[in-house]
Amino acid sequence: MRLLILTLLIIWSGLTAIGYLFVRPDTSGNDAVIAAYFAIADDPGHPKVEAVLIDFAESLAARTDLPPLPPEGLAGIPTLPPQARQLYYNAFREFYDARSERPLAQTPTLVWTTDDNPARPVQSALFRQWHLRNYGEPVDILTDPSNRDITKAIVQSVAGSGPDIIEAYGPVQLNQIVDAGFAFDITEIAEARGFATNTVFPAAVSSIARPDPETGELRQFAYPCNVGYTVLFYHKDLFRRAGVTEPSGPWSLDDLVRRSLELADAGVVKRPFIFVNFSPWDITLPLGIDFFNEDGTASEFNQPEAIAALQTYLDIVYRHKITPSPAEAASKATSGGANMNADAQSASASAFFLNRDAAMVIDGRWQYVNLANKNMEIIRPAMDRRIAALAQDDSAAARTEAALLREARRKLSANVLNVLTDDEFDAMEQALTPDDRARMLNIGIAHVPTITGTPYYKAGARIAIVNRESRHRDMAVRFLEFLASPEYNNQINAWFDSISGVPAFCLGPEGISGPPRPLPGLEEMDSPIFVEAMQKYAHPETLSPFIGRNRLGMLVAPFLERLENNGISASECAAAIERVINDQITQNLRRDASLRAEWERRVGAPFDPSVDLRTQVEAARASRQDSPATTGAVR
Amino acid sequence: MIGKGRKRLLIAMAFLLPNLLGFLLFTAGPVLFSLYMSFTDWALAKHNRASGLMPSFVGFENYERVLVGDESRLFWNYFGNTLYLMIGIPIGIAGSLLLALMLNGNPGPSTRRSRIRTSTLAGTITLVTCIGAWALTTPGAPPEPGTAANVTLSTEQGLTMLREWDVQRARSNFAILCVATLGFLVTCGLAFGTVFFRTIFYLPSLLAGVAMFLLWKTIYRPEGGLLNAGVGPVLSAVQATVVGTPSWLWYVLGLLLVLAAAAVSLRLITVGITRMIYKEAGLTSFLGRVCIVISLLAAAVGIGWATVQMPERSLFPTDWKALDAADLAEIRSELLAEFPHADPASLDIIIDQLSGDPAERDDAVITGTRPLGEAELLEVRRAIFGAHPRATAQILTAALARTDADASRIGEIVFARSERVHRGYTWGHNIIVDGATLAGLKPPAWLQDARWAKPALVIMGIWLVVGGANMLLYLAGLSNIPPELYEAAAIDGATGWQRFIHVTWPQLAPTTFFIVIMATIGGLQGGFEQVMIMTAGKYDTVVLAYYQYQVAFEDRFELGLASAIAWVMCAMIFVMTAINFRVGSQMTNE
Repeated sequence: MRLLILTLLIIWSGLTAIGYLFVRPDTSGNDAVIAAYFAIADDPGHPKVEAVLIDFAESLAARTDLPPLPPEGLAGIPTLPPQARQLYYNAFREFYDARSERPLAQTPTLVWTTDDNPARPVQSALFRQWHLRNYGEPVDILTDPSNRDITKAIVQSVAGSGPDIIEAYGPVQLNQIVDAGFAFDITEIAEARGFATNTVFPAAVSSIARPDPETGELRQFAYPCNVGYTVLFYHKDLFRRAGVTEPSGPWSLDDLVRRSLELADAGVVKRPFIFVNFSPWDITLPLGIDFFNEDGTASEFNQPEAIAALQTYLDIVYRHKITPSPAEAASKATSGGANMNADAQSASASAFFLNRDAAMVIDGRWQYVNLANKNMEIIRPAMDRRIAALAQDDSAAARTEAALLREARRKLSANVLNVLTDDEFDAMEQALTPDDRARMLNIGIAHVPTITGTPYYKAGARIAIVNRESRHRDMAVRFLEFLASPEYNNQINAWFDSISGVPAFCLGPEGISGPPRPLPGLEEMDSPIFVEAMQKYAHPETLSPFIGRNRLGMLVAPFLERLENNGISASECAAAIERVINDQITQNLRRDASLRAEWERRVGAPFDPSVDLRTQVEAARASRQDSPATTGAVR
Repeated sequence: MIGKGRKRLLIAMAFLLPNLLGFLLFTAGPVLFSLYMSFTDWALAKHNRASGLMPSFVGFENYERVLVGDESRLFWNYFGNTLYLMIGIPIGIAGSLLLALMLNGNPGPSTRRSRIRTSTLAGTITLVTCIGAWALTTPGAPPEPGTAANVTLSTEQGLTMLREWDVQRARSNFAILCVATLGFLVTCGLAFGTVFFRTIFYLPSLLAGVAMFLLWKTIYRPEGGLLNAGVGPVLSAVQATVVGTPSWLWYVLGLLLVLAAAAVSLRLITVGITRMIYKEAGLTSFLGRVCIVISLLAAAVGIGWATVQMPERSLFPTDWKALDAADLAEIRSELLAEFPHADPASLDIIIDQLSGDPAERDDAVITGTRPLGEAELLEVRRAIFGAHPRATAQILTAALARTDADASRIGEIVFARSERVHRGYTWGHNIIVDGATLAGLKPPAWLQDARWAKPALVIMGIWLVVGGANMLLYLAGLSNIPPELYEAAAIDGATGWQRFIHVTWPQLAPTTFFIVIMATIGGLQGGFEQVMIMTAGKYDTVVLAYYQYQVAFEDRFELGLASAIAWVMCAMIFVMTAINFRVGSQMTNE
């Protein structure tokens, strides 16, 4: 028996040792950080970094085991073939570790819970370089897409394993993190380093800051990675083929219906997928109608304007049939099913538009990559044809053009966001025949139509919050500072990642245009409408302290879903929504004395649980109007 | 020295300890801790290391919130949803019993040789039939609506062309599928006997739940889903029958149904009262009978009323005032005002139809005169696949009204000129718009429709449990019934039904009792995965288990409240199980 136990122990220890050998962390250092050093070799910006690079360059003279340096010097090392590049990286690691107190392998690493957008590695590289330039010391950053769910971030933070930088969306999630106590207050630091709330679009302020509950002073907890909202994309060619006037400037829902029916009559697009990605809130919100009143004290949703707006939605979906009902959209979608989340529904709507099954879609600037990839299906063969034709021509001009085309093709095939030189771009455009251009997507951008004709956008920002529990909190704050830098914001604009949240980088003479230049047919993706929407027509998301957004969603969802299914009338829906919200607020006020006090402060009258909430609010409002002198006191 | 008894106790404890420790650490510990949590206001987002706040003891506040307070609306609503999804339990149990009865024993060929012979024959017949069906019914190449020739087709030609090809192809595929499936089942059944069917029916229990749910999600797709592909043609046939049946027949049928229900109910009541007077079956039996009577009455009256009031065949449809020339002119101008883009030729067709004798109108003559565009051809195609047999009216809709709502508006305009028209639904209304509106018996959108999402989950739940563990339990129960009981019953001259009622069913009572208890507990606890995967809580399908998860991890991280919900659920399960035990034990003993 003892022998058996001993044997088992030996086997177990052996397996553990073997496992450790295979899974132990890579201690060879951080190549991304070294790449950042070389990337800024031409313009280090910080004396410490400059000294390191100069010394390293001098140390290379004694190294005979390395391949020759490229003509660009250290800056050219990242472009070397992988094996040669790795030799230089190893050399730098040895050099750095020998002279520094902290080896490169121990470089602080920030964890950023963001999505897996292809732009993130680029932005991470920019941050490493920016940090070296501005602070002279290396830092690494890792993205963690699998943990970007806000509830995961909170639970992990509670358990002490939260990320350093938490990505969130809009004021609702900001409040969740702040209320949980994990948002680091950066108000003073941001003020001192120039990335305070006054540097962002006004509509995005509520996404990064909120008033202190006691003093009322605005406290900043985050900074926008970008600002997100959707505008109207349309197929120019479908409008032209149908002889329908393209939308220009603000337009109304009546216009939309009329032009949609004209498009249907012309047979260029099948009903009901003329106009996709549309919801009741695209009608109610522009009218200033939200679930609750301005100060959030009660729901006053059951009003003629809201009912009319909901009816307009029903008319558009079920009478005019110019936009699909949720059931139609879901059933046409690839994934199908009722549990299509907003992202999936939006994706399917985009797919309808991309395939010209819909003439118009409400979507964001981030769709550029999909649109460009679609056009590349035509551009790539066109370039191939042109290259083949040029191969028959032996002239120098033909050889030059072919070389330009080959380079353009290589770059665009790798990534449609790669930058082409002007010559390459011109060569690519010349390769396109009129027939190619007719088959390519030709996208126009317009404001989303509203009942009144005045555009309205609910602006939410994708934000970064520093985890108060982070071990590298100071460096995480620097990341937020980086989000306000030209390096980051120009990249956001150039790569069509919606637009920057900092107006200073959107309102210049270049606007939000790249490089790269948009591909043919997609020129309007740099349209000033994107900035205009944010600057003139964007509104922050409204919140009520008396009822949580999630709870509100759970309460009203059954009625909204029935409305969207045409299973309930607009008036019934409005009445039900108001009733459930006010009931819930009443219950919340009953429970929570501090909430009740805040409600009474806002309303200016004592709370009476036996009286309908809206009646109380309206009575208090009427009494204030009767005695204007008291109005100031209430507020 | 350790005494012998003590030593044996220690040895026993040593053997028990691993399991006991596991139970204490991973079952009893968390259960007790959750009980403690339910009396605190612990919210993860509020009470944590960062905030430095500690949860407070709040007594029964969480329970009060759940049962009568701010959470009560959602809680009771979701409790109702949970009960709704449990509707499938009795149906599932009945299905399991039926399957078990069918699969009990092996009625097929007894010898191996005869099994091989008969199954080979069945397989050959299946193959030949499939090939024959394919050769005879499959249409040729599909028509191309986009070609220059077809774009200028008239409505009637376009309709005929598409109907001929699409309908023929759909029927052909369906026929081949039916023959192949049936043949496969018969062949395998003959070859392997009931073992094959037992395996087939038990498959849902062997496969992962998530995979099943994803499969059903695909089956439930409104367009292209397997279920609607099957339901659509059936609804078309029903619709065709409804539309083709004279209204007086529906009326008489409805009245007969009501009368029959009344007669049966009266008879049952009489019997029930008689039995109560003579105390033949006791008060429980009487109350049961009364419940049955009330249900039957309600169902019959409902069906009768619905039949009589069926809008397409209204009780008062013929009070139609013949429209004079002035009426027709007004209708024409109103239609033009309402539909400025309408093709005047289509309007004239409507007016022509209205000017004749209402009884002679037939939607078959309402065919558009203008060429169909590509989009309209697609519309026609959709109309056919969408199971509208009277697609000519749909064509009219495509040519003029565009939508169902527009078609209804046409109806309103036309019937505003008529007198004594009951609710605007008349014969004439049918002639004009029924293809697009009233008679369009469309298959449900299932998971995308607030009215059908819960029934869809119930249907799937029944499918999952019918052939599962319950069937196996019943099979085991059936195999334990002594054959001499059946022999005795046969000697007494009992029929098959009597043998089931008086022998099989009582002998299966303990099994049924166990299944009911487990199904009730499972029903109250379950539904989380189905809701999470299939609807994500949309369309009012949230059940208590999912709600608990939302409160704990999606909403405000209120772990105390979520624990209270768990304990309320536990109490409910306990009460329901106790009732089951009380009633079930009595039934089992009887």
